[in-house]
Amino acid sequence: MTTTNTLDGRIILIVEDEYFIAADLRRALQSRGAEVLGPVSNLRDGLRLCEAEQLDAAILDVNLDGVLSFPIADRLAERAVPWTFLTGYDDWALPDAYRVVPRVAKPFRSDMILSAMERLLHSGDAA
Amino acid sequence: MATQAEGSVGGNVVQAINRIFSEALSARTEEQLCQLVLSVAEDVTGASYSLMGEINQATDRLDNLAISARGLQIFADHDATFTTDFMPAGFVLRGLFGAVLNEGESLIANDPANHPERGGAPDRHPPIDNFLGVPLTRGGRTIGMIGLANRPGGFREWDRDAIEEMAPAIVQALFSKRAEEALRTSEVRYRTLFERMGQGYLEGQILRDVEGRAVDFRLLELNPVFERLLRIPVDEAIGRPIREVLPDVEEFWIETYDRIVRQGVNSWFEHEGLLSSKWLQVHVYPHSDDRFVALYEDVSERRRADRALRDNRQRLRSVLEGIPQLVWIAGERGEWTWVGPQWMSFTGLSMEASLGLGWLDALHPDDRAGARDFWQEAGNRGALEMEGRVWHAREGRYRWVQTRARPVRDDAGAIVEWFGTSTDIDDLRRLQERQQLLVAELQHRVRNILTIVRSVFSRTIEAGGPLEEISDHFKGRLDALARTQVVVTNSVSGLVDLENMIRDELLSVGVNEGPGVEIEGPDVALPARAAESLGLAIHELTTNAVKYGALKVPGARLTIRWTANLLYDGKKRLVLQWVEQGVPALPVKPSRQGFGTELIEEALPYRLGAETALEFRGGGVRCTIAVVLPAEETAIVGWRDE
Repeated sequence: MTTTNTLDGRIILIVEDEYFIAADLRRALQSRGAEVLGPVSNLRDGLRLCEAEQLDAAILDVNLDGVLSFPIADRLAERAVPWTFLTGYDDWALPDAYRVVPRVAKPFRSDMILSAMERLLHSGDAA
Repeated sequence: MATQAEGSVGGNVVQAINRIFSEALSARTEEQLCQLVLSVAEDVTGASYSLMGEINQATDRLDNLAISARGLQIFADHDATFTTDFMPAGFVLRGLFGAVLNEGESLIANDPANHPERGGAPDRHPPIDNFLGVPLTRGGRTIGMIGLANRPGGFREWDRDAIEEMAPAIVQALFSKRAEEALRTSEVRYRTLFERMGQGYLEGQILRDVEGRAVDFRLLELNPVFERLLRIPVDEAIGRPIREVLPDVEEFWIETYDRIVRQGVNSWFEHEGLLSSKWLQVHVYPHSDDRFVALYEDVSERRRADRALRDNRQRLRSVLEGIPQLVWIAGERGEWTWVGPQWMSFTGLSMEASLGLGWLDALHPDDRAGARDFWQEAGNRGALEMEGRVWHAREGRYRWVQTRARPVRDDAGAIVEWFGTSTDIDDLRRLQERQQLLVAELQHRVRNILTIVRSVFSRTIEAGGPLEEISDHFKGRLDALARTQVVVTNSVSGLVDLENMIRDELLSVGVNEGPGVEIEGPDVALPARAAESLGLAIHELTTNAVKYGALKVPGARLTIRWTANLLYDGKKRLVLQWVEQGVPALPVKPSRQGFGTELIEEALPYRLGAETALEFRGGGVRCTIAVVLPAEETAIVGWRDE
C-alpha cells in the first residue's frame, strides 16, 4: 500500500549540484510516481523553475557549489510550496531563519527522502 | 621741723629704697617681692600689718598681690579658718581703699570707724584702728595701692610722705620682677624648643677673605639636633668655622648661605647632604652682619615616600599605556574624563574630540544607540560589558571591540566614575567565524562525498557482472575519488594541477608517458569540484583503455592533450582531448549506458556545465571535454568573511 505510487502525479522540483545525488533523487521520486522538475544544479535555474505553474513540493540542496539556495526557499515560502532541505550541514551552520525547516541530512537513503516528501505533501493536503 | 622731718624722711626712704632694689632682685616670686616691700614699709612707718593690691584691668576690682608676713600672722591669729592657700581678690573699689584708688591720692584715717569714706572691713578681718593708703601709679594711672594698718598712735603725714616716696621704686621693682619673670619664662620656653625641636637650628656668620668672597661660615649657635644631623658634638663646634669642624663640608652650603645672606631674603631649599646622605629641607633667615639662622629638617622619609609614589604612578602609567587595550575613565553618564593613548592611535580621534561623549563618533552608527542606552542604566547594573564596532583609523574600517567597565565607588559605595577597557576582538571574531565556516565546509564535503560514494556504489552494482569485477571497478573509482581528495585537502589553495592528476591516474594502472602515451598541455590549476569530476572521468577513460583500448593493445597510441584559453572576464576555457589510435577491433559499446559514459555525458555537463563528446569508433575512443573554469578559486567558494 505504501510502496507504490504514494507520490503519484505530484510535481517535485529538485535543486542539487551533485549529479549523482540528483540522479538518485530523481529515480527515487519517479519510482513513486512523482513527476520531477529538474534536477537543476544552480541557483539561477532553481529560481527559474520554482516559478513553474504546477509545483507541489521541492527538495533543495543548501550549498549549490558555494552558493546558498535560500533565495529559492524564500520564493517557495511565498508561493506556499512546501520544501525540504537536503544538506550536509548541522543546525548551527545554518542561519536561524532556516533552522526550523524540515531537513534531510546527507548522506541519506532514498526511503528517508521519500518519507520526508510524503510527510510534506500530506500535511500540505491537510492544510 | 618740716625740714628736719623731710631730711629724716629722705634718709630713711633712701635706705628703704636701696633695700627694695637690692633684696627685690633676690626674690624668687612676685609675691615674695611684694612681701619684702611691705615689710620695708612696715619697718619705715611702724605699721602693724599691711597689704598690697593691684587693680585688675579686666574686672576693675582690686586683687591682692600680697599680705605682709606680720599681716598673715595677725589674720591667722584672728581667724582660725584663715588660709594662705589663695590670695583674696575681687574687692569692689569702695570704702577707704576705694577712696585711695578712685581719687589716686593717699589717705590717712586715724579714726576709720568714723571716716566719711568708711565702708567697713570684710568679715573676719582683724580690727583696723587706723589706716594709711598710698596709691601705686604707673604712667599717670593708678594701678594699685599699699595699705598699712594699726600704727600705734596713728599714722603721721611723715609716714604718708615716706611711702609716697617709696611708691615709684616699688612699682619699678614690681615691674622689673615681672619683666624678668616673663623673660625667664620665654627663655625657658625657647630653650626647650631649641633643644627639643626636631629641626636643627644653626646660627652662622659668613666668613670672607680680603676680597669679600665667602670662604667659610662660623657656627654661632647649634642645637643638639646637629649631633644627629651632622654627627658632630655641638659644644665642640660652637664658635668655630665650619671648615674646621667639618673639613670636607660641601662647598654648596657656604655658597648657598652666602647667596641668601647677600640677597637678604628668607629662603628655603632642599638638598641631599653628601655627608649625612639625608635629604634636608633648610629654611634660611638672613639678618645683619652676614649672619643667618638656618633651620634644618630631615625630609628623607618624605622624599622617599614621594619618590615611591612617583615611581608607583610612573609604573601604573607605563602599564596603562603599555597594555594593548584601549583604556578610559568615564563619569556616570558615560562621559569620558580621561582616555589613554591607545584609543587615540586606534581611532585617530584626539583627546579633546574623544572626551565627553565625543567617543561615540568612533562607534559604528548602528552601535551608537545601544551604547547610549547602556549608559542610561549603567548605574543599576554595576558593571558594563558590550561588544561593538569601533573605527580603526589605520585600516580605514570598523573593528569589533569588546568593552568592559567597572565602577569606582566612594567610601559610601556610590559610583564616582567608571574605569573601562576596550579589547580588539576583531581578529578573534574573524578567526572564529572562519573556523566555523571551515568546520561547516568540512561537514558539507565529507557528507557530500559519502553521498556520492553511495551513489557510485549502487551504479557500479547495477552494471552487473562477476562480483570480483564489480569489486575492482568500485575500488578503482573510490581510489580515484580519494586521490583527488588527498590533493585538494593537501594543497593550501585547494587547487589541483591537471597534468599531475592525469599522470597519477595513469600511474595507478602502471602506465608511464612513453612512445605510446603522449601527455601535453599548459599548466592548469583545477578547483576542487572540477578536479573531482574530471578525475573520475579520466579514471573511467583510463580503465576502459586498459581493458579494451590503447593501453591494452600493443602498438596503439594514447594522446591526452589540452588547451586553456583565457576568456574576457578572467575565466578560462579548458578543452581536453583524449584520443586513442591504433586500436584494431571495434571496441564494444556497452548495450546499457555504463557508469563512465553517464559520468562523461551526463554528470560533467550537469555538475560543471561542461560540453562533452564521447565516441567509440574505429581506432579507439575519442573524448572531448570543454569546461569553463572560474577566474579564481579558493578552498571555500562563495563564502565571504564579512
